[in-house]
Amino acid sequence: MTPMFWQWVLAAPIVLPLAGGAIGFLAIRRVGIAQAATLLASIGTLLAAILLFGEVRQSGALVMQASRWDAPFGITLVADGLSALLVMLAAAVGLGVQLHAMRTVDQEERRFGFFPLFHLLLAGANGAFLTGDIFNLYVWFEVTLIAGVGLLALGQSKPQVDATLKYVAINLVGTTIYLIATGLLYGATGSLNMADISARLLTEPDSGTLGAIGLLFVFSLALKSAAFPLFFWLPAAYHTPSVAVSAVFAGIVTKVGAYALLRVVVLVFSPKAEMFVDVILWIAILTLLVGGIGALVQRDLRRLLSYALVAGIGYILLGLGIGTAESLGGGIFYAAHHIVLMTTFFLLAGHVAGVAGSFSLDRMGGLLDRQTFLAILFFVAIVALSGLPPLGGFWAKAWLIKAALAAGSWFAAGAALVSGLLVLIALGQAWAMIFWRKGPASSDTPAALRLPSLAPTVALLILAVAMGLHPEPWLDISARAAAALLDVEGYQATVLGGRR
Amino acid sequence: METLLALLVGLLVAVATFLILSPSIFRLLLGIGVLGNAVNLMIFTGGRLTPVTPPIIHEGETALIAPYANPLPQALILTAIVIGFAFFAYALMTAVRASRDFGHLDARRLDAAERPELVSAEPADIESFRARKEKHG
Repeated sequence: MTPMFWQWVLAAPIVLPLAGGAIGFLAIRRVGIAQAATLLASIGTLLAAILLFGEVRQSGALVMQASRWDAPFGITLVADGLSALLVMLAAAVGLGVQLHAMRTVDQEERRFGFFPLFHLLLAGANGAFLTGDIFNLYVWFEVTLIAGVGLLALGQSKPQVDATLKYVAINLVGTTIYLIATGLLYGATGSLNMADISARLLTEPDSGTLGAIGLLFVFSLALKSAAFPLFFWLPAAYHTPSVAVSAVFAGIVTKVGAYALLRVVVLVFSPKAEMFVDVILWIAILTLLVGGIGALVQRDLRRLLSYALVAGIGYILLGLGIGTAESLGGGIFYAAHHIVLMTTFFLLAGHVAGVAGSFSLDRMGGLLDRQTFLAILFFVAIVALSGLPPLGGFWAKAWLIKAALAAGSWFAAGAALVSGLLVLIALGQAWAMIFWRKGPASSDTPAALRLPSLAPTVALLILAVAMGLHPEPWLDISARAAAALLDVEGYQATVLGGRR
Repeated sequence: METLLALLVGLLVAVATFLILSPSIFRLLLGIGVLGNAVNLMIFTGGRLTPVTPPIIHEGETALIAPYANPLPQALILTAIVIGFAFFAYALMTAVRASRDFGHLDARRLDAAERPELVSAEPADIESFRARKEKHG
């Protein structure tokens, strides 16, 4: 294959969803065309992402200099192991949610542009994963955010209006602080290219200015990834929109913040990372505990999952906070598994609410007989998320805890175990309430769900289970992604040296 | 001059912080608007102020001749202004909608997303899900 071909493959996960979304917007009154165009874009993105992942795994990071403006002057797109992994999983999850949405999202939301907005969101997330430019990352954040708030408000119910207002306000403040940090960093180093900045910081002495800039980054990105104590907006919003929207938010959007935090701390601030790692460790520990405790007391299924999601963010940040190659690998594996599994979980919640008629745990019950298959799927997802062997959550947590103990951080290992237990209790209780206990005597007993409507959910769950049952390739992929992330000099040489 | 601008940015950020902490959603949005302007000014200052020639390559030259004004902050600010404007418009529209739905814009009483009777009960797509199921059997 020619280098030009790989440049296109690298840009495809951004270009294809953008194109699909654009066609969708142009044909906004013709829902059929919008749906077909975005479906094609989803499939194309997944194919391109798999190709990209294979190439990066085989022959190292790919770089594209937009419009041939060489780094550090132009905008650089970079796919290293971590970026390619996240883009591939986001594409897989995106296709799954697309198929689910095509069956469930209601007509009005389709006419108001559900599918184009959804693809704009995917393009924004992929752009954030692939960019090598710190200001460009801000732009992708905003693309993701504007599409996200559009999706969040689509149904126009009162809770959605309330949730959207809060979500917009807090996230706007968050991205503005990110922009402040970017502007100050530009003032301090004179560059916006991530590789170039990290090279320039090598010769800078430690100073209060750099520390303050770094903390502004940590603050804004922790807010974006819903880490303690800036997570309250997440459970206040994720339970209001349609299920497909919650699912893609849970799977992809929160990972954008976590990924950016990894990238900024490990790559951009690599010479100064020690200034923040301890802070991040404590943020991670508190996020773990707060997520687990919060999940225990929820009466709304999607709010419960939102808190479980917050706990999951804690594990990803724990990998960064412990700060060794092993812990980063564990965090990356957890993130990869979490993308697929959290999306699946929210889709499952949608199916449960579809047959129970409500997301309220108090009003559910007795579904075990009529919805045995759904009960099994939900149970498998619980096992996978809460870290029971042999599924994915277990391997990721075992790896993280091992790394925590090796680094001597007993408290982190304990928090990881306790949080897993709390999430297991919360979800187990939810399962018992939904399926096991006697249900409310209702006259309309919905028929068991048929396979076609469950198919995307089942496919994603199978992917998540497969990552757990056969973890070796994924452990290897994550370890390599962590090694690539830590190999700052290699990254600099790839980007600034202009390979290909 | 840079010191003066830095002080001005500080003042604007202080004003914005004060407004953002207000319980009134409208003031909060004004605060976000002010904060956006403060950041733009900050990026401008961060790119260093140079009262010299614009960054234009004249005929016969192949590169810029120093000293020239830094063009990059202007590109960044332009991007940030466009994005900030779009978001401000969207946030204002949401606030208008909220004030119509709830009859007030007091953040302390905005709790529609926290009320179980509004949230958990039959969201729109469940109904359509059911309708579709009935239609298709």
